[in-house]
Amino acid sequence: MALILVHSPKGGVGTTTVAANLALMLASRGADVVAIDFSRQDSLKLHFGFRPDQLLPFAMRGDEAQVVAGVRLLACNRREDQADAAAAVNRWLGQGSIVVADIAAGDADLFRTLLPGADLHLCVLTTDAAAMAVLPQLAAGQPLMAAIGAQPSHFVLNRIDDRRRLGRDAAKFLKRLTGDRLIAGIRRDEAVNEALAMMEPLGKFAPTSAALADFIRLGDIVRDLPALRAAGARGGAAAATIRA
Amino acid sequence: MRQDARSLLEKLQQTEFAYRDFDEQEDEGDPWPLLEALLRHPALARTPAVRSWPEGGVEEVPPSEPRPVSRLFRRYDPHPVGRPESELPREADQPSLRSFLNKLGEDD
Repeated sequence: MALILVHSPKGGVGTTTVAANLALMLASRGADVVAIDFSRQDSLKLHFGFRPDQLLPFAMRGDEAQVVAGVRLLACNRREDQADAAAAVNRWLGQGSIVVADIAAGDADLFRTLLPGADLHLCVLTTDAAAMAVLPQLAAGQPLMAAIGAQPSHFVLNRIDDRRRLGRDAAKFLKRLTGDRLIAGIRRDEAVNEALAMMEPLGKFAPTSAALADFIRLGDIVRDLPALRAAGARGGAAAATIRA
Repeated sequence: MRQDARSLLEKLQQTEFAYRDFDEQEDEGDPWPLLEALLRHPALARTPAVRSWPEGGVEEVPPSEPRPVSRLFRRYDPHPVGRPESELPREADQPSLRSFLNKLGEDD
């Protein structure tokens, strides 16, 4: 069991895309994965082939999860549900699942609520100038690495485009700044957008895409992180709980 | 993915490709003022050395604990911990983002 929070202080960087594809990759490797959409944008489902008007089962209502490609999908994005978000997570952690939580940039309070019980926080950034500019916010007044060094935070750089000098420079800048906390890069690939438009998972729509290859790599890296291995070793033992 | 690109990849029995046609020297072009500003931001300039994920779990780091900055960032720290102001480098002496990025290029 493990809790993975996918959250970025910057909106629009592809947090939901990373959460969805990470869940799919972990499930494809045989993990018991539950993906919970905590974002009021309600867009996690689109990466699994749902229509915009279709609703995911609600985690707080005790609904049966909808299973797509081995990932159990749930929503916990109504305001009244988020008051006890920890309960939605604990139910599945108690069953030994890996829970991937997609948390919107604006839901910093929810992120801070779940963070103490998280085994891993994936902070998604891009090499866009506006995304780089939020880096000091991560530090919250402390030196950056002291701030994230006390948290299970790792970085994923999304939409990398090494055709552009700014993209290359920014990627190197972040890599140097965060060291081995930058665990993966996802190349900019229109196939991600096209898969959404086709209402198909990326692996089905574009099995040869560069982004899919990167997501497969991300899944393998995350699975091998010491925090996840340790969490896996705890599986079957007493369930960890998160204090709301 | 465009159909012609997909067909070509299938023909080549490749599953991915990387853009490698636009490499340029690290010292080409002007430095990015935004990255330079970030480099001098107190939260980032005093960044301690990056540490690997601890095997035994997440290590608590007290916010107020003085920690050495990394070798790289010490060079760019405008206010190094424990150094009198008279010893601080003048603005003109401080390395530029260009040299920072050049250093990164050497590391590759």
